[in-house]
Amino acid sequence: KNKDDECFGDGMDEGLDTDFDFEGNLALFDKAAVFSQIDTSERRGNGAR
Amino acid sequence: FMAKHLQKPYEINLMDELTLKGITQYYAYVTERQKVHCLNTLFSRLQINQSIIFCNSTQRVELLAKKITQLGYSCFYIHAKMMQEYRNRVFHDFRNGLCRNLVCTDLFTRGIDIQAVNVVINFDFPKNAETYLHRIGRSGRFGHLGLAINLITSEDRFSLKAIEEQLVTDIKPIPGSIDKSLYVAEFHSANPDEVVEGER
Repeated sequence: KNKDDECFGDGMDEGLDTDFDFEGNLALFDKAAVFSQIDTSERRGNGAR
Repeated sequence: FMAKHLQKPYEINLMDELTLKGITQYYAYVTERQKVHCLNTLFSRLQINQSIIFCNSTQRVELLAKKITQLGYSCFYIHAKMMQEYRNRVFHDFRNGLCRNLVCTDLFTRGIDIQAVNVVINFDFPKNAETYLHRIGRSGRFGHLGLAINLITSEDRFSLKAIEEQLVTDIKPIPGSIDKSLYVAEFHSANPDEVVEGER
């Protein structure tokens, strides 16, 4: 599957000697904002029905 | 909503038997591509006694186990497509501490009761709360400290929200440094005064 290639495929070994940037990646995901966005779109979905 | 997602009527009993108490739950936000890199960093930073790493398919268990070995860490792996006898053997050896890391799919019917396992990593985040609880939860008898780290991709955001709500739990962003007293046995109660800096 595609996901498996992405995850385990070639060319992703580079940079393994450096630490993964946890903070930088967490900054890309505002959990509270994403969750309230899901809530909003769910409510909208229900209202339309 | 509940009825749609929870089809098993014995759900409540399981919730009673398995607890998330004592388990500190974190998530790291990643892409598929970054997962192995992230895992490698976790291995090097965390003080792991024994760990279990969950994937969502047998194929991915095999691929990941191969990768982990290439990275220079020892690991066993088990999944549902192996002979039961062989699986029992591997699990038995892991329990006896012959290897530090175990990669597997969801084949535990009820929480993991291996005392030595202090870190569980969801390399692939599960789709439902029951699976999450089975992977992370401990039966009360063995309830003790541990760390659960979830690798979350953009696709997992719906599952993350649903699981947090159903289990009434909070999975926090992984901090820059993780307090060892949360999951390393010797540090627990040994150094109650040791305060972690930079943890917030």
